[in-house]
Amino acid sequence: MAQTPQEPRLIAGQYAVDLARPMQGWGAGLHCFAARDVKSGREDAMALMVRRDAPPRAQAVTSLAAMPIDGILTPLAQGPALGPGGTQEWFVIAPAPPGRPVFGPHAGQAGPWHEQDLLAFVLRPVAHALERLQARHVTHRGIRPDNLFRARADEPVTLGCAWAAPSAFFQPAIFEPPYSAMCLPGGRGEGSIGDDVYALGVTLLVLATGRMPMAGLDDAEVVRRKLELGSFAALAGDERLSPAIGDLIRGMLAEDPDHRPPPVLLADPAAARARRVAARPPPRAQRPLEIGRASAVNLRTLAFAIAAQPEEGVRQLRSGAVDRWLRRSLGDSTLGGQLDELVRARVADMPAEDSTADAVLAVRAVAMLDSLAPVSWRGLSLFPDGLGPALAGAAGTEGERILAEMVAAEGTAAWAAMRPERCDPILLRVDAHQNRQMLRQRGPGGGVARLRYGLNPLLACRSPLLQGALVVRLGDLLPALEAGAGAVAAPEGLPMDGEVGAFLAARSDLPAGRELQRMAEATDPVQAAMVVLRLLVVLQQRQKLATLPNLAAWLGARLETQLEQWHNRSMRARLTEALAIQVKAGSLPGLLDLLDDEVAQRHDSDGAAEAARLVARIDSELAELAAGGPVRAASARNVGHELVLGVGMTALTLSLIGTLVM
Amino acid sequence: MAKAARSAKQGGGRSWFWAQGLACGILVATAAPLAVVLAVVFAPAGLAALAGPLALGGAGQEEGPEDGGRKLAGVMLVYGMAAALPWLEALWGAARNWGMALDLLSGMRLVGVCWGAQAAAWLLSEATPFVARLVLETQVRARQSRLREARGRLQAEWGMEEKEG
Repeated sequence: MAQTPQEPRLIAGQYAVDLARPMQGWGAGLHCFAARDVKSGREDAMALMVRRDAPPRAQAVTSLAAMPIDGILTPLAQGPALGPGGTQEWFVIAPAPPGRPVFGPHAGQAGPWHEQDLLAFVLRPVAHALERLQARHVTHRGIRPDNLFRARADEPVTLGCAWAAPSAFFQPAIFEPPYSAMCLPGGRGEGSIGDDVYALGVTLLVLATGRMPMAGLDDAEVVRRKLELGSFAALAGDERLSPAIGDLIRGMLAEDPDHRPPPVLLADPAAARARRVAARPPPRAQRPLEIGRASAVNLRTLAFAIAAQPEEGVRQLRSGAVDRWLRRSLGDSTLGGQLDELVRARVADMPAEDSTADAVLAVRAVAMLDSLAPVSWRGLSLFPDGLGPALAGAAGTEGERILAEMVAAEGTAAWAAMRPERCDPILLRVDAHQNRQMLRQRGPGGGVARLRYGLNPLLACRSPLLQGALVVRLGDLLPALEAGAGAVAAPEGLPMDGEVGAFLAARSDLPAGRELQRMAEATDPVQAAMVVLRLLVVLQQRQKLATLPNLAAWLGARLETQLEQWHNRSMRARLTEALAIQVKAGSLPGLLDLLDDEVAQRHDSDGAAEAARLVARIDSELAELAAGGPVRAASARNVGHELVLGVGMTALTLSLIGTLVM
Repeated sequence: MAKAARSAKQGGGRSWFWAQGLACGILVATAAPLAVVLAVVFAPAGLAALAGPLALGGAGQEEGPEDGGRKLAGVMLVYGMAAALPWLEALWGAARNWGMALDLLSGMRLVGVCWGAQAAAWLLSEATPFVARLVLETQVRARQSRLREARGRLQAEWGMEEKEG
């Protein structure tokens, strides 16, 4: 049965959310409430309320819930429960933080941290935690000062929860490597443990200085400065850091994740400090190249400028301005030649006005100029594994159309092909092709919605048919549709729209895609309604839901016209009566049995054909009778004549006999 | 074919006409009083044969007005002969005797009976086809009614559109 707003429900049968005890500022960007373990009676848990457009990281939540890690608020469970608005919401349960955050408005202390405290209470414990996460192939992507907690000043910090939203969804730009920071919030991807090391480095910097660097700058400016100056220079600036901390942070803020010290090395700060990876800063041009509003001074900023303003970037690429700048100002004729090859190939292969080809050119050029840069399509940037959350965040916006266009053009495959040393281009090409196939599927089971739900296993269905009910798992769909159908006075259309169809196709192991395609191909609403009925019947039978009166009434009203296909009036009347009974009983299988009985329908058709033949024969005989008047008149005359003649001959014979006898 | 059949029929009719003419000629030559009596007695049949196109009941599609008149004349002749047979002896006597022939005619009994019989033949010839047609039409109407009823039932049961005008 559907969960009504009045029914409290335990998460994982164990945790109750206490909405009366909000934990403001403790949820790593999410609304957070105290939670109670009803089995043990303990109250040291918290419930993070998931945003509907930002689904949790399903794989990480499942993996970590099965085996928690010390020093991190790893998820314990997840599930739906009543939210503060009286509606169902999805919650991720995690242990409550041991104390206040170490930084920010809710912090227990203020001011710069001492070097030894930073190393002992922040760097080492967090490095150990990251080491264990790395061993589990999970990243954190939420390390920042206000997501580190501790109870007392002489205790190591505990890493907050970061899996109730897409990776790095709530991370401010300063805590992310520039290539991640330039992405859509949902499109940053799982990243690597090196990205967590970067965030830890910025965190150390903030705690060491006691203030937030680059305060007041917007994200684009933060990214531009990091790319132009290098992250350490942009963030640390003229800050006075201790040599040990300064060396550590410098290494941790390397632009290339391969150059950052791994967590196992960070656990030994002395060794980490000694590790110096020679990474030369990118050469700076003698004069900048203006691309739209941006000014490129090196390869990274050039790539960023083209990514952020692709139309202007492509125009300059095609005009040869970028090539000339590379050769003259940066002295990189090799790269200039490669870029020129790209431009020539684009001009030769595709029409000049093909904007998709221009977008692909921008993607390739950005990847060639900076192999660390993400995929950028018409100004939107993301890493390929962040496509799902990015689509979830962009649902219903222009961004969704742009991302769908990128998928249709297999933009990620083009990007991967340009940087094979940093990714597996074959794997990404296969993924891109699969995504494109999903996007191209017609009907309610395909398209961008199908892609969105397919790539986000914990994304709630967005269909308005659900009347705001939370449906994350397939099992919740039918009860919510039933409740939604009951909430509408006069439902129109069908109880399955593109969102529900895509959700069903993505979550179900049924061959729903084929059925949904048939729905798209249906020539009339009744056929479409029959497809919906078949799908819902399978769901109802699987979930063993006894009655669905509202859905039955909705579909019954749509399918009444199906009975008009029956020729036999008495059968039609009986079916109408039976339909009403099944609708009242809320039995979708009963409805389907009535309306989808092929044997009976064939009998009906055969009977109708036989009746038509009989009527034709009757019409023919009636026509013959109507046209037979003259024939009958002639026949009557002949019969009359023969009769009168017969009587006359008889009289003549008798008269002759009488005359001869007398 | 039809043209050949028509010409054959016309040829046969012409022979029959000449045979009739010859018989009449022989009768007039050998028994003129009898011929006069027979002419008077069977005058209605003769008139019917001549007035075929005007005969009541008209002509069927398969026969011309002359055929209808001839048939009516034949029937009237049969009835007239049946009525005239009791006077056979008298007629035989009047075959060469003008006096007996005029007596037979002036007596009016022979003429009245024969004419009455021929009138009856004409009346029956007109009435019987009418009655026969009445019976046939009644049967057809009943059949039509049953068919329409069956058709209506089928249409009602199977939801067919009404096509009949």
